[in-house]
Amino acid sequence: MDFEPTTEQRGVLDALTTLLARHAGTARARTGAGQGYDADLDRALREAGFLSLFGAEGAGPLEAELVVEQVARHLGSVTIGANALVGPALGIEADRGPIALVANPAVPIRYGAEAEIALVVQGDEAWYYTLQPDVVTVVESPYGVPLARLAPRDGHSLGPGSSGRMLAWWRVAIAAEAVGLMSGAFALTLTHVRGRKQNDRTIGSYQAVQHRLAECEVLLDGSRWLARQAAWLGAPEEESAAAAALAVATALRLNREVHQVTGAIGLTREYDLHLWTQRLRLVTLELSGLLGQRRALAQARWVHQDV
Amino acid sequence: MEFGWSDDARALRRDIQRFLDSSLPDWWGTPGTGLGSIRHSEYSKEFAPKLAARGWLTPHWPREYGGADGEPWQHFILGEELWLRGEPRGPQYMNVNWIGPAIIAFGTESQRNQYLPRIAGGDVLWCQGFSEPEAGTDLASLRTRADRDGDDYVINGQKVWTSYANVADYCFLLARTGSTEDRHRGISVFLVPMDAPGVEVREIDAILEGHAFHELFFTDVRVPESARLGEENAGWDIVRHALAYERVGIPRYCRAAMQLDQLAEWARENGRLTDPAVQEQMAGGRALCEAARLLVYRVVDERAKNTHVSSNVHVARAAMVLAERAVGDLGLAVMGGYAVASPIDSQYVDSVAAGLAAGTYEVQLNLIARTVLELERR
Amino acid sequence: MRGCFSADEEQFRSEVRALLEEYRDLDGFFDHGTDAATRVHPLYRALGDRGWLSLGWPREHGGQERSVVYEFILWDEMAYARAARPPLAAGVVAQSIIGHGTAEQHQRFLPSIRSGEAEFCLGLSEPEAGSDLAGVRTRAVLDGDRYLVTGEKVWTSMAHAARHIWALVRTGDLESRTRGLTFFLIDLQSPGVTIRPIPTLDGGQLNEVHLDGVSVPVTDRLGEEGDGWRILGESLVVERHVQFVPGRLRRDYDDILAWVRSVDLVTDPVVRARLADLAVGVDEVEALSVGLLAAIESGRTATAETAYNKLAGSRLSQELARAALDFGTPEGLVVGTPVEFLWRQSILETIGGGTSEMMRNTIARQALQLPSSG
Repeated sequence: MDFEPTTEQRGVLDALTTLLARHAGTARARTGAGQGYDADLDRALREAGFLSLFGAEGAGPLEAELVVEQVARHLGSVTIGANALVGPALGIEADRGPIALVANPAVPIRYGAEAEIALVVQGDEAWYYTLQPDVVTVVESPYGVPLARLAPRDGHSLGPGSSGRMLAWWRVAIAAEAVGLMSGAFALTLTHVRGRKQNDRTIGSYQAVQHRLAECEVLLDGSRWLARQAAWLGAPEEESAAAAALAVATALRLNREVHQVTGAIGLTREYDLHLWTQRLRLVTLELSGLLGQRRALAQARWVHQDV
Repeated sequence: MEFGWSDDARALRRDIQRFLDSSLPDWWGTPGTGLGSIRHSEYSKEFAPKLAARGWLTPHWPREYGGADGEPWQHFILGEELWLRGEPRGPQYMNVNWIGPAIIAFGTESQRNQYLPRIAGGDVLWCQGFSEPEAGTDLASLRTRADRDGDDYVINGQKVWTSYANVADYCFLLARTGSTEDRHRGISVFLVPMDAPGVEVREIDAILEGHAFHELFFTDVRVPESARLGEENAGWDIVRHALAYERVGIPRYCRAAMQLDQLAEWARENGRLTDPAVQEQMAGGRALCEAARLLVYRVVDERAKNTHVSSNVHVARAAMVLAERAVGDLGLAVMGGYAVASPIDSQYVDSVAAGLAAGTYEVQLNLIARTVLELERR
Repeated sequence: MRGCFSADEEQFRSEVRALLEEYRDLDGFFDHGTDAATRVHPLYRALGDRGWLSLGWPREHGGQERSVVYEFILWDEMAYARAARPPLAAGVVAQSIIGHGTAEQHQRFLPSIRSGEAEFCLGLSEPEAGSDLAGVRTRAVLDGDRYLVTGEKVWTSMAHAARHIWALVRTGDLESRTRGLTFFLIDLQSPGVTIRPIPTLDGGQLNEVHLDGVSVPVTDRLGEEGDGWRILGESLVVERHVQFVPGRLRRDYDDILAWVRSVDLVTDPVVRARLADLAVGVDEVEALSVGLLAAIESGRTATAETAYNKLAGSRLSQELARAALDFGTPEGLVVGTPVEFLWRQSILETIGGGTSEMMRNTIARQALQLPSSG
């Protein structure tokens, strides 16, 4: 057990922070690049090797998870969870393009129209598809992230049992992205409540506000470590589901609280809070949302173990 | 960053589990014999010496005082396994966690010689005399006085909510040696024999099944100066130092997690485990237990690295309370009437107590808000 | 709420429903975004024609002096139909004009408010004064027979559709806090008024209203200088019975139930358990509303009851929205579905009209008699 980042991990994160300062952030999230798929950021991440940490010498899934957290926190408009974690776990080479993850064809997919590859859960197997424009139906999205439904053709199976692996890593990716987005939204909210005065005192000095934010901190911190643990352990079914279950439950709670303490300011599009919270809502709905994540955890912990 | 266990740690866990399987008595775990009951406390004097003989009672202490200079992790793993099985060390978990270490850090040579061998041997019981009727969360306003009289101190006052006072040999007592206005700066620690004339113990009728609470009355209790631990009026710092890790001293999440597994067994036997509503609730509890476990481990990791105590300890404590409460609540919701007088029902009461002990949940949240979130105090 | 109302009251409810039949196209009022104000205008006119915007007003001002129950029934049905919310003009604004206005102001404003023609917006919040209105900074300086008003009002709903703003303005110095505040009825078409839309996450808009040396005749001041805080205090009770009507929650619930049936989730035990909780919640808010009506009828200010009602109602509206999202179907992601709509229409509820924190403070002080933390 060691909760301190190693020197190498610090190095990765420092380099990533520098890269994201140029290629991500709130201002960019409002521009064309940030509203669609950010090809420049994608290229920069690839060239610097951040998308191939999963299987790299001296790195691994934990490092990849840390990257996902950071990219999400800085509002990078790329398929970071799918490309840094899920794809590599299924043996997809790092130089392939953006990956869309599909479990239910009825559900609109993040970056469905921009992705080049779809990985689709089909029973026991994950299937690999190269996407053509004619299988894409774009869906209107108020979330700051484009959505589309996919009906991919002509794919191939990645082998028996591959869907379990895909789902587990997808859950780790959901947890990591949710943690990153929550961290960004929470940091902005703390700045707000420290500075905003009502009745001659900062709203952050009210105990009723402090207690709710402190609980959010506890749950967010817990989510963060569960996500990292799941990645380090190689995404076992149970630990991955636990990470996603807590992250999604926390996201629903935190989203509510950050908006409440920010007041009407936070509901406007000109204030930055929604850049995180709207993206966060999308992440919390993946794989059947909170109920889906919790059922997966219960199945893994108490049902599958007997068979 | 890594989240695995060393081979040594795994082996230690296995050895303790085997030892517990073979040594706990038949009556263990029957109603009314849990932590805080007389039978449980008395048994600890039989059990702890066996642990001591295996080097498992005070492995984290310095060698010169009966320890093995072991890693905090080793002691913590022991704590997890023992707590899972109902804490057969009884009140002595306090001795080894913090009372002994406080005496090592702040005691005189003669105090160390007097108290530590018995603690390391496992046959002495202590209680903790902190809270008072008018000083609960606000400990700095405690009123029990210790007044100088020649070479002695004379102690007068009242303590309350004291566990184990009915069986304890000594009390680790906080008393005022300065004025009330001095608040926390006028408090000293005394190591008081419970059989001293003028000490009276009354049991409080409470809802914690089998776990007894007491009022402690001190009427002209005379102790020598040598009963004072550390400097006069330095008690607050001693306690803060000694209890720095005690907020996570009991790994409460692991028993909550075990209760959940047992609840799953019950649900399976009663055809409820396939109910998605049951699964959903139980998974919510499980995720919180796991989060609490990692957040506590982070504190142990800091301790093992000898970094100063960080505010992560409050985060970990709050996470444990959240986990215990979730499991307590959902257990009752899932079992309904079958929960009556079951371990799940005790888990619920435990979870109520968890939010009060070792600094209330609200105090933890205040500290998180101030130290982690950097929000200003009113 | 069946069985709570008299035959006459139920008769009135039927009349309201009959009228609403003609305005079915308004269903989903909250969903019409920036367009909502224009779309709802004909309905307000129709209500005005029937005298339903002045049900509780004194007869001398063209009202009917009916009990609060009638207004409650009207807006409860409007909410169920998702057709309209009470217009701001006919409630607090009209009541404050009736209570504090001059005869000339009565003449000038009340007939057009009563008919549903005049629209007002409320100029209360400012960038530095949200929950703390005593911190209002917009200033009015007397200059002969006019005031020059300068400042900024924010989060103002309907400012883009209203002709006047009912504005709380400082006439004393900033240190005077609550004593130096005065209400003005400011014409938004005056030179120096700029309205800037603030797009919101629910697809609608709030506004910033900038007042830059706007010249306001003394005759547009409501009451005397320094009366502002008292008028504001009185206004808080005017709409207490229609501030959060349960019909809207009943409708949310019915919509969720219909949607759950349509996507075959209705046999799922988790969904059923959640729906059962929510159904009880709707009943609970209805019961609180009836209790609030009874308290008002008995002549009490009912401050705590009002806060219960707002707190429980707004919280439940968000729980309803959250439940639908939790069921984890694709609809949560798609604009225009009931699930997505519920989320959107509920996000402002615990903030607008007095935050949930303010409601909890009121309950703690008034009902539980806990001391204020100072």
